[in-house]
Formats: sequence, C-alpha cells, structure tokens
Amino acid sequence: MKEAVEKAITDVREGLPGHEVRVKPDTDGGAYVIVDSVDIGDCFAPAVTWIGFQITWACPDPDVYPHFIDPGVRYVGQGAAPNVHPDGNLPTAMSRGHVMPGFDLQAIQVSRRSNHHNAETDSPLRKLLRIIDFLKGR
Amino acid sequence: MNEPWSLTLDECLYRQLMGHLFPGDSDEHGAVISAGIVSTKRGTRLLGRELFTAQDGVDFVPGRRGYRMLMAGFVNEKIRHCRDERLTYLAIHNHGGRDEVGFSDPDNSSHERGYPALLDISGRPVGALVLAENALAGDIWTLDRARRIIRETVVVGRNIVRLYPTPPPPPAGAAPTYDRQVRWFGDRGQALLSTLKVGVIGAGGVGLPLVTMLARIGVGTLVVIDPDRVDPTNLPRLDARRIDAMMPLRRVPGLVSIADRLSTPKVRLARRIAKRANPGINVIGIRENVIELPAAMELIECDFLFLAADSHQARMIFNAITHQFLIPGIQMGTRIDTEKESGAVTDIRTNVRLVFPRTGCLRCNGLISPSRLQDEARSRADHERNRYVDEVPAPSVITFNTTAAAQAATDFMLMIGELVDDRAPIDYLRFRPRDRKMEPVVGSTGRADCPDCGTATRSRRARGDLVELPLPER
Repeated sequence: MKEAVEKAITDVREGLPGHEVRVKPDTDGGAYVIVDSVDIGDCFAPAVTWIGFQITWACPDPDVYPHFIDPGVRYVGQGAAPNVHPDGNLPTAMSRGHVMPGFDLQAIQVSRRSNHHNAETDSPLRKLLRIIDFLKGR
Repeated sequence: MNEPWSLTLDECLYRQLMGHLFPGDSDEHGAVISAGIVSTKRGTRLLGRELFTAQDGVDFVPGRRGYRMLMAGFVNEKIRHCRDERLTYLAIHNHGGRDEVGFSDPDNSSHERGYPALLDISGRPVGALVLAENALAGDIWTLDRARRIIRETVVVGRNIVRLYPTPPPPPAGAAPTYDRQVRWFGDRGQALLSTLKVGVIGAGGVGLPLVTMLARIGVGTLVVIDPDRVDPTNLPRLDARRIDAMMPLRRVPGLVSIADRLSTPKVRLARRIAKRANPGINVIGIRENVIELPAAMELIECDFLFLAADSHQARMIFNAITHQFLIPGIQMGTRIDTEKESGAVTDIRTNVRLVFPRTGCLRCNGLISPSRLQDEARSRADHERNRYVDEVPAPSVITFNTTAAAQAATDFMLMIGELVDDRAPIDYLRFRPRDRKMEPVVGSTGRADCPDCGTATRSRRARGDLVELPLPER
C-alpha cells in the first residue's frame, strides 16, 4: 500500500474514533475501506450503516468517490426521492444495485463529486465527513 | 553517477541569476543554487531548484586569497539547508568576457581547501559554477572525492538555450537531404536534433502525425508510449493500413475478438511510420500505460516531452515529470462539444499548451481533474459495475489533430533552435476552427503551494531522483 494511502487510512481511524475500520488493499497500492456503525441521520432507516469507499494509488490527488452504504437502508425522510426502485426510492445522488468493490458487498451508491477538490486539504476523511453531512441533510 | 554531468536551469531562475551577477558594474558577484539530481544511463543532470543571492559586502566580500569570497556564515547556512533538503550545493560567481569561462587557479585552490568539508556536512555532491555572458563552467565534487565537469548547461524556457565552458566545435555538415531545412535551422541545430531523445505519450490521432513530423525533421531518438492497438474507428485518423485493424477478419462473424487481439499495436505503427520517414531514427516503443514504471523511466531520460493522450493520469505523470526533472513539454488536444439531444456541434477547440518549469503547470490551470483521476484509478471491473454515466467516445477528426501536432512540432523546433522571439508569449494557444481564429489563453502563473511546480518545500519541482513519481505500486 502506498504511504499516502496508509496515512489517509490512519486519518480516517483517528477522525472517527470508536468505529471499526476495515481495509483491503487493492492491486495498485490503494485500498478499499469500510467504516462501520456510522450514524447517517433519522431520514434513513436504519439510521446506522457502514460506509465504504476506495482510496486509489494516486492519493491525495483524486477526489474520493463514490461512497457505498448498506443496501438495506431505506429513505424515510420528507424530501424528494426521485431515484425510484422497488426496494425503496432514494434521494438524488443515491442509487441501488451497486457493489462495494474489494469487499463485494451489495450496496447503495452515494455519488458526490467535488468540483473544487484541493489535494492539499481535501483528505479522504474530510470527504467522508462531507458525505455523512450530505446524508444527514436529506 | 554516470558521465557526462550537465546542469538544467529554468529560464526564470537563470534570468534572476544573470541579473544578480551582471548588473552592469563589471564586478564579481556571488550566489548559491540548491539543486536536485537525476542519474540515468545518458548521464547525470543537476536540476537548479532555488537561488540564494549573496549580498555584496555582507555575504560576498573581498577574499583573503582570491578577489572575492562567500562569507562562512552564508556558506554554512546554505550548505545546511541543502543537507536538510537533500539537495546539491552549488556556489556561484562570475567572470568577465563572453562565450568562454573557466575557474582561475585561486578558484580551484579554494575548492580544494573547502569542498571536502562541505561534502562531509552535506553528505551529497557539492560544487561550484562560474559564469560569463553566454558561458558556464562547473566543478562538481562527489562523495568519492572525484571531480566532475559540467559539460553542458540547458536553460529551459521559451527557448532551450545551451551554455558551455567553451564554444563547442562546429558540427559536421548535415546530410544533403536536410539541405532546405539547414538553410534556416543551421548545421548546429540539425546536429542537435539528431542527439535529442524525445518522448511522445499517445500514438493516436495527434501522436502519430507528430511522430511523423519529428522523424522527418531529424530527431535522433523517439520514445513512443501507447498501450492500445489499432481499431477500425482509428483508421480515418491514422496513417495505417486496413490490415492493421484486421479488417478482413472482422467481416467473419465470431472473429472480432481475435481481430482485436491481432491488430497492430500503435507503437509498432509509430515505429513503422517513423522509420519510413527517417530510416536512421531510433524508436523505442513502449506498449504500456504511461503510469507504468518502464514508461516513466524512459521519459525521465528525454530532452523534451509531448503529451498526446487523453487520460488525466497521463496528464498527472506528464506534469510531474516536467517539473520534477525540468523537462519541457507540450500537451495537445482537441475538444468538440455537442448538444446532448440534437448532436449539434456547439464548440470546437484545439489546444496546444506549453508546460515548462514554473510556467503552464497543468495542475495549477485546473487541467487535471480529481474526479477523472479517481475514475481512471478505479479498476476497470469496478468502474464498469458501478458507473452511472454512459461514456461515449469523444468526437475526433484528423484535420484538428494535425493542426495541434503541427503547432507543437513547430514550437519544439523553434525552441530547440533558439529561434523563438524573446518577447513571444508562452501562453497556451487555442485554435477555434469554426471561427477561423487562433488565440492565446493566459493561464495561471502557478501557485506557491502547488505540489508540482510550487516553491514550497514539499513541491517536487527540480527534485529529480529525490522524490517518488506518482505511480501505482505493482
């Protein structure tokens, strides 16, 4: 695993103390990461899920996206849920029928690109916190 | 560390240095440059990173044995900085005259007295440079106490200027086939082209016409990098035969995948085209993605780079090599925008972007997309499985591609021949064929904190072998 990837994973562990962080190296020096037991707010049921993502070998330059959450999560909030699916409609930027790579887990994909990503300041931890905020704000 | 030794400076640093050494008072002045280093089988290159000017009367004072000397405190501070940053310390002063320069006996005596101690402090090579107008000599001491001569200094900017301790002998006359070219480019320029190693990343619609032109003008060695094979949709844009895309096989149901596997690799096509244009050329074809180590290792030996590939990973590694090893480069590309629904063309632009140390950084100009980097770095299987936007091939046509290739080859040739006007802008160029217009695009001048071109301590600029390139682990 590349040094920058290991450092980013350490940041995630330190930034989310008390959460189990599961890591599987990919084939290029990056890693697949899952953070367990994350509270994503009352708009989802259950409100606690795992969140997974891939930190690729080119870290810190790439924008870490997409993220993945447990496929059993349903949207129960009052906002728009335009992504229609028999297993439950989802808000914008979220869709069902995906697979969390590395761990091969069925998943909901949360695809939020950062158009103004700054490699110096926008770490994978920071992006994860923004994704959690996004989910809580649905 | 391999012979010969050379020095590369960016134009900005060189101009600052010359302004300090030659303010018009015909006196001696002093400075220090910190330099990165890269050793390849073509030799060892020192790469000027920082300039520290010595203040007259404070840091640069009358000498006890020679005419002037750097003060011990100044030397001490700079050698420790170089030790901490793992850079090479180069002490500098100037002599009068032009086109020829060398160290005096007192200069050499002072090196012999002082440099063993500086080597001990820094743990890295140290040395001295002496400059006159249009001449530079260097005396480098390596850890084995051997002394190395700087045979050539290359100043990278709008022109690629070469400086020597003494004027090199006139070259042999160029081959008669170059008669028309030599009439404006000169025997020396033509001889120089034949010694150059030039990298071309991407052997597609832009890269192959460029390869043809570089071969025809007389470049000595080409490194061509492309992982792909010719496919039928390439044929209208490539100087290829139908058999290169295995067209007869494709007419047979069930044989398309075999045709895909047997089609000609683009780097082999590049070699064929280059050899046809110039039988004496040396072509190194690398059928790999540019982010693979063998490809990157060939590129760091090059004198000039061209980026004719679409990927943002290619942009990232090209930008990193350009700045880390002070190798000038040009990125080219065409973009055709169409309306999603109707398919109507809304814009066509062909870009030719000069990328030099401190100028034209693709990262500072927002041309390396973090999202595209993530998409490209995710494994193909993961990407296919989870993509949510259908990707369609970009529109393309040979005429726009050759416009970019021709301008880039022209820029290269004029820079190598030192024929670019000193006042010429080094902005990006944008061609708008629909408007029949060519316009400069003023880009960012570079951020101090840019990890590629910046002046901040952590940037890779001019660090050579001292930092890793951004490549995947295999």
